[in-house]
Amino acid sequence: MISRSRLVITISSLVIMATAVVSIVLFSRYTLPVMAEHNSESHLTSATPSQGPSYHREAMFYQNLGDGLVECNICFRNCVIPQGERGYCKNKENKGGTLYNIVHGRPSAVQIDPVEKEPMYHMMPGTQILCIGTAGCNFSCNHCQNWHLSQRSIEDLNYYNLPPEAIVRFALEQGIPTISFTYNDPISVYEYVYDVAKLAKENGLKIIWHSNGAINPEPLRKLLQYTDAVTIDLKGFSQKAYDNANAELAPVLEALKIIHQAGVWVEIVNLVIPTVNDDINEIREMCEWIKNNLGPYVPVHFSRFHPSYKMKHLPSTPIKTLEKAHSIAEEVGMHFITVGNVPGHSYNSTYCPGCDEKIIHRVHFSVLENKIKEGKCGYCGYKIPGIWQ
Amino acid sequence: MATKFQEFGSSSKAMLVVATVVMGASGIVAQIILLREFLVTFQGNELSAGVFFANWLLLEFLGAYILGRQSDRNVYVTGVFVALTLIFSVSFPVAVLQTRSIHSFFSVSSGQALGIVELFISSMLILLPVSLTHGALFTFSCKIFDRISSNKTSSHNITEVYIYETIGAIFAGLGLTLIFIPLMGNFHTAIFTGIINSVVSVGIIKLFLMPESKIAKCCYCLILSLLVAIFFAKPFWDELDYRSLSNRFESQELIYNRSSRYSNISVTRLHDQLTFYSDGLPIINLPSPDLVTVEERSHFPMLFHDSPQSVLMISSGVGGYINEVLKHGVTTIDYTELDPLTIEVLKKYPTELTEKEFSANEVNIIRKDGRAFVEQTSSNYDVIILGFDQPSTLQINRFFTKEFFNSLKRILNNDAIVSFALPGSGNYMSQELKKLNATVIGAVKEEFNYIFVLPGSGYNMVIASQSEKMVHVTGSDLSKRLERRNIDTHLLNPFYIEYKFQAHRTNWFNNEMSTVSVASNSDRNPKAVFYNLVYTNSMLSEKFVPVLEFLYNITLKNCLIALIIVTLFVIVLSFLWGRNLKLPICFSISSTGFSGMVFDLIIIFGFQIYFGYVYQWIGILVSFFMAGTMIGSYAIVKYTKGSFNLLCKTELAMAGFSLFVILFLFSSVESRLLFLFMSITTGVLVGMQFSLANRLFEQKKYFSTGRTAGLIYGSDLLGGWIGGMLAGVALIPVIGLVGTSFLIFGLKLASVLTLTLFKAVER
Repeated sequence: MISRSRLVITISSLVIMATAVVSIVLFSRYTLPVMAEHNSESHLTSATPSQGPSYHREAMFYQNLGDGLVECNICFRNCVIPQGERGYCKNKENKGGTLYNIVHGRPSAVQIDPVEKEPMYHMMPGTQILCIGTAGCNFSCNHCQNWHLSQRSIEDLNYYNLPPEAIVRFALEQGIPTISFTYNDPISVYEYVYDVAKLAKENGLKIIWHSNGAINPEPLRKLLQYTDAVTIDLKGFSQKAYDNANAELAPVLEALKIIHQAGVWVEIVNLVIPTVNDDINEIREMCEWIKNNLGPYVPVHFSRFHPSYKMKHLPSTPIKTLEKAHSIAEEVGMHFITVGNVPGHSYNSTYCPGCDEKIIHRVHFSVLENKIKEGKCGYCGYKIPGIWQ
Repeated sequence: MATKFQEFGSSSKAMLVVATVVMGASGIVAQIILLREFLVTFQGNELSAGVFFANWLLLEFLGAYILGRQSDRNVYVTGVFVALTLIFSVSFPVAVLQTRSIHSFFSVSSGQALGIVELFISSMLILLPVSLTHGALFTFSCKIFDRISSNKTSSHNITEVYIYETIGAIFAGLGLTLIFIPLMGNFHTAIFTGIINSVVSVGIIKLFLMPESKIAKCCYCLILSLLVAIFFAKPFWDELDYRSLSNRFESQELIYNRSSRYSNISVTRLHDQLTFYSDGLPIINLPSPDLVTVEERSHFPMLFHDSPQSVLMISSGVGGYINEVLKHGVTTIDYTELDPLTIEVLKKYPTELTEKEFSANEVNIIRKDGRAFVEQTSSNYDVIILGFDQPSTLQINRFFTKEFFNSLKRILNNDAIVSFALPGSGNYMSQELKKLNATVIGAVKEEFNYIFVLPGSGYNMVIASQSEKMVHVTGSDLSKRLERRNIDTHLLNPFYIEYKFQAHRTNWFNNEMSTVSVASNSDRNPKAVFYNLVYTNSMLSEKFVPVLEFLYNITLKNCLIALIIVTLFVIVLSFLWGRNLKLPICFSISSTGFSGMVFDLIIIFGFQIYFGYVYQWIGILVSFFMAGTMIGSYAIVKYTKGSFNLLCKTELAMAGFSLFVILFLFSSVESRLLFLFMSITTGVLVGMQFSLANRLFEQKKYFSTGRTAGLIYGSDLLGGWIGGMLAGVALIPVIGLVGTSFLIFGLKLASVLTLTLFKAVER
């Protein structure tokens, strides 16, 4: 038997529940249009799922190993990729035993920047570059500033449909003399870089790329035919530094030698990260290697680290550390050493090895004054290597 | 066995009361200290805190229910209680040290951020001995009370333990944050807690066990000797504390570490550079700060104004920003900083730059919550610069809502400029970034007539004004003003300003933003917290993003459907499990734990919105809640026999209370007393239901004391766990405060219907 009080509670509960349902309906209809807005959205990270990966550009430099397996030979990883799978960089897919570059013609970042931003200091100072970046990378740096591109697959990103012809046409229309592949590593989108570079050269444009340098010799040599200059991120001079990127040092050094031998202009950036690669002996070894293998005229940029991506607990690099690195490079005999990410620092500028005069006055990536004339120091006539026209 | 316990006198009972109070106090101490340590290690936000609380409560639940029910079978209940207390005493300080070494455990460098998976695994492992034993202690103490007070009912004893535990928690909660943590630091407070617990163990051994056991005598001597040794080994603990803290700052020299009631501040030295950390994240580098950030964030807003004289800087002032603003020849800079320790430490380690900033006559340092200052000040300003990086917590989000932007309008002079930063990227705006920017920019647009965004690498700068003059300002105007004011900068020059103002850059940003449509961030619907959570997790725990995406899609309607499904599930299970009130009562208590936790969050958050972040008041609100639980449970034990109908009435009262909260949220009543009333009312209802549930279990003779205590306490914790996890991460940010209150309304109605149904059909 249900007692009277229980009956009262049951009935009152039902009445309140009914009131609640009515209230909720009215509430959501009239006072909370904001909540209903969710219904119209199904994705937080909107890719372009209807299009999926692109299979129109077959990859270069890969071997068919049989049983549906292929081996990508673009970078040091030499990924063996089963059917339907992708390589480490997320940009190469094995479809039916054929390897495709699935981001070809699909850059996610297209910007116009000064060439100094790369950094690339000995190439037409003060000019603009058309910067192209895509999804994927063959490294996984814990400090990557472009992680939202490099550590993502094409499906995770929005992208433009820009085949090589469109990129070149755009650069020509805008009067931008140089196309740069940057942000993520161009190695992971090799075929796109190669196709654009070839077409750009045919149209009188210059090509540069900013890379970690961990590319195999054969594809590197092929790409260098259509390359004007390269910026290589040397992430340190120890395996510990490369562990921070889940990568290896040796292939990078090998690539640097090949670029130098090919006569392509190369500049080196070393982001000095406290506790990761700031050991002074390591920096000395690195500078000695550069001088002995690439010569004293290769510009070396020591950049200040600020906390980013997964390395937000670290302090910024002390200026003293950068100045020390600069003086070591000088002691070793390098001629063009700069310090980056410290606006206003005197080492941000370029000095003539002949007369020690400031030949390019630079603040961050603004060029305030350029005293180089026809590839020579405007003060003493010392020949300054680089690309000036 | 019962007769044995009856032999013990009033001193034994007093000792047991002390032990229970200490247990309650220790629980809250361990929870607060370990949470703080985890937040430092894991770049804390609501999600980290939610995962921590979830694991804590889950383990407490397991301890109370699974370990605790052994108390019914175990004859050595007191001995086990002592052993558990000692395990807790040792494991708590050890847990503090382990939290500081989590990076080593995962073999990653101390500079690398860890994700949500690592947080889940490490908190589960580290908290295991601490929370499990603490949960079991509750059940065991109920059993001991039961045995020594055979003249009282078991539900009376469980309620008594609950009350003593709550008293301990109230005192510890207040004392810890106001006295112990600022004075002693986390590790020493943990050692101190361990010592107090060990002393309690000694007391219990002496009064309960020693008369008849030689082993007990040996333990007594051993623990006493150890306590003496621990007391005199202070230099050793200091060294251990220092070394464990240094673990977090690999290759740097740790020169300062102290916790205030707001945060943990550390200072390290690397060569000549001092780095100031707040909760494990570097906030200032001296003598050379990040010049790009400092100059852009100070000069751009200042240059947008033709002739700025009075400036308000909310957070992030000392360490370069004030120095740059001073270059504009201003007459006043009011700078608000919530945590006085930040200022104290910056003064303790002076540099030329900070000394200049502190000694400038134009600068007034105001140690106050910025939002409270904006509400209360009678000053007006030409430029207001907000120094927060992103709306990472509900607390910081208060500075990114339309209500806050609205309140700024009251203190603006003609042509005034408001400026702040949002996370950004110079080359690609991901969906997460777009939504985060869009919700905040949408809020500013609702309040300000003119908005300009300077996109950049790392952050976008938002400039807002009520004056049309702002939209006509060009990059070239800024360069002219820079020159006219004769300002010496490192970064900013006409070339750089031109670069930042390039049309293609701003067009790109505006085009990207036009592809998303989201609701504006507001106090009652703090969307930005959720989008920020998704953004940071896309960086650190990419695999967790789909879970957040799922949570993002929840609506009040979905929640109510889920609630109906859960209720039906409980009904079916209850039919299968003996067709009685066991499960409906547990469901009712879980829903109460859930509601209590969510109301607590809503009340604290609501208070912060109206009155600013005032730490003492948060302590008082929590204390009022706990005092309410004490009053509620005591009232049931003292004045009623407890009945099913009363339980149902309290359920309806809670449902009614949630409607009251909704009305309150829609009203504009700003009364501290009302917040205290809401806190204590929530507590009273929770306390009443806890006692009533125990009383009903006893009346129905479902289980023995240990099992009942474990089950009811565990159900309460389980509800609190779900509430803690969902409310901070999803419910409040996604369906808003009002929607969440409606959900509780539905939950309590579902609970009362389930109870009524099974009362009618029970066998």
